[in-house]
Amino acid sequence: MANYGQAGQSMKGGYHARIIAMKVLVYIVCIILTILALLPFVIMVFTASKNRLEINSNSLEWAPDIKNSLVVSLLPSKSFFTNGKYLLTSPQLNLPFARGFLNSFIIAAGATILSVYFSALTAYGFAVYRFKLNKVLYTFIMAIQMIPSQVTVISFVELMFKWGLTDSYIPLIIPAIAAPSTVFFLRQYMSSALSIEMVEAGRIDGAGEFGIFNRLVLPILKPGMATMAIFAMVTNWNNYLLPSMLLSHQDMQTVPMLVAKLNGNKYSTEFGAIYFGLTISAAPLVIFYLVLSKYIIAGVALGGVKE
Amino acid sequence: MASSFKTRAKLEKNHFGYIFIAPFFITYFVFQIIPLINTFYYSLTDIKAWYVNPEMNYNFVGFDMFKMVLTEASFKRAFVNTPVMWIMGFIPQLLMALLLASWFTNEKIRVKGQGFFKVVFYMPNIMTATTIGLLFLAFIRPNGFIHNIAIAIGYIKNPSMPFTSGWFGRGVVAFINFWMWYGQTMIVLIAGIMGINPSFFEAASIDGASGWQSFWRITLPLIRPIMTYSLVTSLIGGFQMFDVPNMMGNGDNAAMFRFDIQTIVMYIKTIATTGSNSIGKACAASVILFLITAVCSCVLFYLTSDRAEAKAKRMEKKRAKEAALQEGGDL
Repeated sequence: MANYGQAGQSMKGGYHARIIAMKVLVYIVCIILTILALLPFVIMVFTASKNRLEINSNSLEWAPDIKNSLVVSLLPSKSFFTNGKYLLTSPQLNLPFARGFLNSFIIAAGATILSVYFSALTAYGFAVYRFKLNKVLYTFIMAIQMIPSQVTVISFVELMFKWGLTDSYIPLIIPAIAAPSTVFFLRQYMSSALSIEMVEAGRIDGAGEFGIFNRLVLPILKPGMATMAIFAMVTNWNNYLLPSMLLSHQDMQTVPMLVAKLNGNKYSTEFGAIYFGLTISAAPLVIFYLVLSKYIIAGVALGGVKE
Repeated sequence: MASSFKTRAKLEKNHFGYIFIAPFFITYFVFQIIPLINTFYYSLTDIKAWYVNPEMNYNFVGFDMFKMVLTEASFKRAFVNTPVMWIMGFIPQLLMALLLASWFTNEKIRVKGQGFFKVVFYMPNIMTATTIGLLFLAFIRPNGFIHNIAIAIGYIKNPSMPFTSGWFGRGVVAFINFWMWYGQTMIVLIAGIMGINPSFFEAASIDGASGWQSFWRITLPLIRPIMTYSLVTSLIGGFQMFDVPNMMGNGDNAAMFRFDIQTIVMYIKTIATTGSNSIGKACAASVILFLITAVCSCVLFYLTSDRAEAKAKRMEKKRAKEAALQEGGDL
């Protein structure tokens, strides 16, 4: 693999020096990008630990030293829990974040389970059975992958109002049964992971068609389904537009909706509380990501995912 | 006999296919097709939103709603802002992803810690977009980190003066898009480059091609389909841009440049939920958005695939010619 570098090596002088210079450049760029990726989150957490005076220092006349205040914003302070207590329990600000986490989790988990199970079912139907409309309907699924849901969001909400489903999680969970890109991914996955002989063997043993799918096929598809489940979980957790139009009851709101509320007037002076709210909204995703990053990066590389 | 029996059993079983795919299609019809049809239908009416018009009365008005949308200043603004912010973010996103992908797959540089860099560069992508939007809004407010930097470099003289420039606002949104997505594009491109047959590079190296030449002549043409896919999906996503600019340009504490970062989906939501509460108008704008998205992705797919095909044909002709010449020479 690496041999094709050798020919150039013997021909050109200063080859090593050039490679080293290149390496230095690459690492400098990578380190700058690493700082760029992490710095906003670091500042977020550190600012969440500051009181009002510390955050507002540079607009006060006695603190004109801007460079000092830039350095200070890169250091933590002591008011993290004070800010948290203020955000979560003070009667003026209280946002039910604990409830929001539960709500977001119910919606994301419900939608994920439905989308992964039914996508596997649909993909299996296309992969194993030779029915008349197989090709036509599969082409249809490929085509509708490209239709963005934002296009229909207004009439979707209008329809849910007509059916009395506003302030309900049904319109946020049930539609996940039809996830075209997950079907597409699992169909591709099956063509390498699943052999038709195995299905035939199951039939000879007298298993029913659904029994074969649930007991023989699902375990084989687990890795592919797990990949899709991770992305479905993140996408549904982060969803903002549709829940913000469907849910109005305070106790039903999701984390992104509560984050949006932090931008309200009554928070305009409480920056510590805002940064605290942002931090706790980001925390579950950061943990989720750190635990599963290996699978997430591998899933992205498979190219099946693009929201 | 046995084989015909088997075929019949198979045929009977094949009907199960419909049962397996039925839940998908029923759900898709109820929750996607009906709203899609309604969107087109309502766009020809003057229907008002559900909470001001619970009886859902409406009249047909033909293309009046389209005319109203297309002549409205706020739509025109959103119609310009959206693609402009997308392009401002996508060009650096693709270039950065290509640069990093070419470095990370380069056998001579052998970048260590690639796994770490991939994890870090991709991280902003999974974060909640509303959180990111509000975080950057807090950074650009007076006393925020970016605002403080602007004071430090002398861009802002008065410490309590907020950012007002529209281009600065568009730049911030574009930067966030770049920042959230270049890692994703990089990982996809790396996977694409790793999939190229290594013997192509070996052959090029033996023929004396430089690293730059083999990148330009081998890597780029072969990952073109993946880049096309990235381009089209990013364009479609770009036209739906909402969460980040919405957090910065809406709400009680929106940025001063709020009107310069309005996007089409923000316009649609505003039309439906404030002022005239016109669902008809919002649906007309949705239909326009749908058509733009469809036309753009078709054109992009057509252009890129057609060009690639034409090139392949040209190459084939050339090869045939060369083969013919060689044959002639041999004789």
